[in-house]
Amino acid sequence: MTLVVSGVAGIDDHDTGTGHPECQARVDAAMAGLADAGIDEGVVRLPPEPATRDDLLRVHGAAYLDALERFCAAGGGDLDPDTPAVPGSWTTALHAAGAGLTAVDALRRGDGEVGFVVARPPGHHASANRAMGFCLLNNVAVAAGAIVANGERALIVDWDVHHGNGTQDIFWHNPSVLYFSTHQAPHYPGTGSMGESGGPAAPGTTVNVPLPAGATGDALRRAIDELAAPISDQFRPDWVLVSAGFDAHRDDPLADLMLTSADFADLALRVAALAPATGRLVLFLEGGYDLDAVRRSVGATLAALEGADYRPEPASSGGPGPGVVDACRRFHEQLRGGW
Amino acid sequence: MPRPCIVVGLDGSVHGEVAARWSAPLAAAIGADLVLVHARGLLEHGAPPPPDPSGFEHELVVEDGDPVSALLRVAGTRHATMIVVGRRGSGVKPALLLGSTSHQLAERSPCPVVIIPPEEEMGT
Repeated sequence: MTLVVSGVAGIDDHDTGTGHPECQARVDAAMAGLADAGIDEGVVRLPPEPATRDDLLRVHGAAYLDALERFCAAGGGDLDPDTPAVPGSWTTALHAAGAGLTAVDALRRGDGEVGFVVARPPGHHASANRAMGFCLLNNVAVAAGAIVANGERALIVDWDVHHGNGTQDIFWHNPSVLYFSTHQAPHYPGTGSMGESGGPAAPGTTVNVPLPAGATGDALRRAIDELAAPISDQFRPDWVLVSAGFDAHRDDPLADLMLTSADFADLALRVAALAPATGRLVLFLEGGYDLDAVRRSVGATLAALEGADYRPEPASSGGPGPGVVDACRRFHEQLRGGW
Repeated sequence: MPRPCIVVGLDGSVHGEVAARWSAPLAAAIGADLVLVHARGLLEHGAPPPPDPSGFEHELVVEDGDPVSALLRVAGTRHATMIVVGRRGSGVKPALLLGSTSHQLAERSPCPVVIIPPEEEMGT
């Protein structure tokens, strides 16, 4: 059974303005995808609890949190050219950051088998002290921070088309979090090269697979099978968290990878297999800006995890990228002395 | 000995162009390469690059990401002699907490940073 933690009426006041691709309609599209897949009645919906200051302080700086709250309260503005904030953004961001904690807590109680956080704004570009790339607070990092505080280890798989520079930075020196990212490169935010592999205290716990424009689902499947899986076997995570952006879909307007909804279903099954037990997998909506693509992809992803047959598009293959995966595998195999 | 290199932040605003035009005669005088850097944001995917300033020799580089990181990356790979950026007028809110682009560069750059004030504030 999937637990869906999503915003409820009255919480989402993060208005990014007319025409901005990161908008409330993305959440609506994701939820519609569950209905299309015929699984909406089988999921349990939970309202998110807002993150507390202590929850946030595990991964964000106190001065940044104070400044962001004040900035929003003072009327907001542009945090960077991509990232607007309004007075309601702070409360909305607190709920988005807390949604993952709500999912983790419910799974710890045994209330479900998989968590899916459908909240905005997304989080993986937000670093400890900086908002950028549509992101204010790093939602998946807040959840991973709580898991680490509980003495456990977290694997974060980030299949958003953009590199999660914020998540990488936050856990760069933390050996209890393994960050694995597939993303288009060169592309925003300019980070995520193969050689970025973790700080001196956490060597090899950052794994980047920078894929060329035009890459298809086979490259990502190979990345999970031949890179994430053996590294995860060594790392032995207690939880698997997924920065599940759907902007690697071929219809997305902000990138150039060529995945389909069925590819995301395949990836979901693969990352589920990395979780050490049932009830230790949480997916977080990150990017995804073509509403129909988000709808189809979320439906296919959650249907796969529920064991339902819903693949509105065939899987893709034949694009560039497998060679990059091979190079990354050789790099990390050498770094680790084999696996 | 490698040629010196001046890296200039070009953000599509008049301030970036002022910085570029200030740098051009200096680059010519010291025989330096002039590299203009435009940092491309998330919303700029598929958009054409910014207008390329005319009237002086230069190279335009488009880098993905935030301006500070983009300028530091290019300055590092080109072993820049200096970074030149334009300063927006007083009254413009700096980036949250971290300060303006020029302030962040001044704190993090391994090479000298030259900050060019807005034309209307020059010489006052």
